[in-house]
Amino acid sequence: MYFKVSILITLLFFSGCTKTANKNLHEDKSHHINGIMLHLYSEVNNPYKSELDLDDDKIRYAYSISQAIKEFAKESKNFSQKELGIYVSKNKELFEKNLNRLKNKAIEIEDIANRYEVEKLDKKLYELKNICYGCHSDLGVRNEKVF
Amino acid sequence: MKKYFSLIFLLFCININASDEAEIKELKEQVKKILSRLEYLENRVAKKEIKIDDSKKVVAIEEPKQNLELTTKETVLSVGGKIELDFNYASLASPLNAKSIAVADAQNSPHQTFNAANSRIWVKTRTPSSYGLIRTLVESDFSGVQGTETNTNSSGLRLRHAYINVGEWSVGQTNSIFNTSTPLELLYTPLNDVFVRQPLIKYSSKNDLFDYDISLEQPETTLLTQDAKIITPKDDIIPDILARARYYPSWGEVAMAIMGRYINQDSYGDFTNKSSAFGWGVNLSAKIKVGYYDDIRFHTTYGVGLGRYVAYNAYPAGYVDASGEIDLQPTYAYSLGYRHWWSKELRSTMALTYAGTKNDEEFLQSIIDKTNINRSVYASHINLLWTPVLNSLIGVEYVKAKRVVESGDEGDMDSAMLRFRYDF
Repeated sequence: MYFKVSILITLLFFSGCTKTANKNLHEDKSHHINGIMLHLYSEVNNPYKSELDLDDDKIRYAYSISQAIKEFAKESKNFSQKELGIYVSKNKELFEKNLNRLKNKAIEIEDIANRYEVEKLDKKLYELKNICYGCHSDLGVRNEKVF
Repeated sequence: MKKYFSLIFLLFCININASDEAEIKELKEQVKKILSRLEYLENRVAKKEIKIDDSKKVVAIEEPKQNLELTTKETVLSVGGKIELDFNYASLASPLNAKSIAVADAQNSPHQTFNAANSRIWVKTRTPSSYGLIRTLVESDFSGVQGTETNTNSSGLRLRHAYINVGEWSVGQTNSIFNTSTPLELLYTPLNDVFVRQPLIKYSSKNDLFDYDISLEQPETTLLTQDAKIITPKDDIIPDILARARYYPSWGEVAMAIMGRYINQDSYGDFTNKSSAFGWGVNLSAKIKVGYYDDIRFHTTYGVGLGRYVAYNAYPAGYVDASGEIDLQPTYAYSLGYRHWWSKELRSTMALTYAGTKNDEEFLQSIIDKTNINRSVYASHINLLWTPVLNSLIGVEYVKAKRVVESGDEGDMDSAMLRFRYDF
């Protein structure tokens, strides 16, 4: 009996919990990057992998993050005025500056992955988040939490 | 609100300084437009189309703590581990696994334990060479020989991993490549776990989207006898041969592992005959992202002669009759789970797991006491995991499990765990 109840609860759980939709391009890319980072951090709790296997996973995540940031920076020029205009119009120079910092950080993360310097990854991700939060602060945008 | 006061003040100043009536009219029009624009923007803020932070305060981000490292000119040596304490409360005193949940008339009183033996320590190194990176790992925990709970709760050091990885080759003791690649994020070990750690020689090819592994691993035959015991004849002559492919698309991860193994007994004990058989197995596992953060994970495993690879040796690879003839049996395991992120710090997994084997009916008739011969086990898990600071975990999990044995008896077990963990 409890097995059937469990299946029912699982299906209910599946049905209502996805967070999608109606995000603008900026939010979409931000959530994408945040999602990769959360999966990366939760991998630390994976008791089924050895430390070297986890290092392999971290390197793979590093490439994914680097790629996602590059796309984010590239597509930022396509962000509509509706999305960012109010913030960027008066601070375009500042926005571009932060965008360049972001692109450089993506390259640094990729370099770390190429050299397999896993121990340096956490610090780079910390610096990456600081660029995002710093840019939001510069432009007067609220620093939203993940959700 | 501050913006309104500023505009009123501006209007006041404008009124004082304006001498020309036409100019005043024009300025009033402009103010009207500004107010209209302001009202539009405030409406958008109210509708959450845009967000403005008045305080402009930067959210504090926690700086990551790094592992202890020693670096020479070329080698990086890192030391790390975890401290873990589990508080466990179960409806039965028996261990929660596929071969130990008490059935029938067994003891059924609740039991509570604390356990820190899962704490670990590891040392790893990384050195560049002309053959690629040379990486080594030694890892131990304290789940070896267990002491008693009466005085000092001693727990013996146990080897988990000891291996070296040079370029594409790995040699030593580590996880089998047959293991489920996308395990559920649970506090309790799943009863149907497909998990083995053993000495091996492995070749790996890593690419952007695809990884391949081939390995030769420690063989170990496990067979059920007419005494209802699982024996290990120690007559293995060929290593288990395994291959695995993993695919990493943007929507998740898929892995498939296959295995072939030679099961052998060479006149073991009182058996008069030698016998052998070929066993095989397939393990398919996947993680599919749902939205930005959540994921569904599942695995399905099937094989003939899988034995110890499923549910921690709850099922034998096959049986051996009185004359020593081996007959292998099918074993299967399935799991399905959903992980949901409530926030950056909170997440939950809900999962269903099942494992079972098809014991030979005819052989079972020759066994008198079947209460120790496992048929199936299934469980449901739900947990809540909290990461208040980086590298930490506080989690609670509830599991309800059922074990069925070949005598027809069943055992039900409820168990709850509170875990504190910190990775250093």
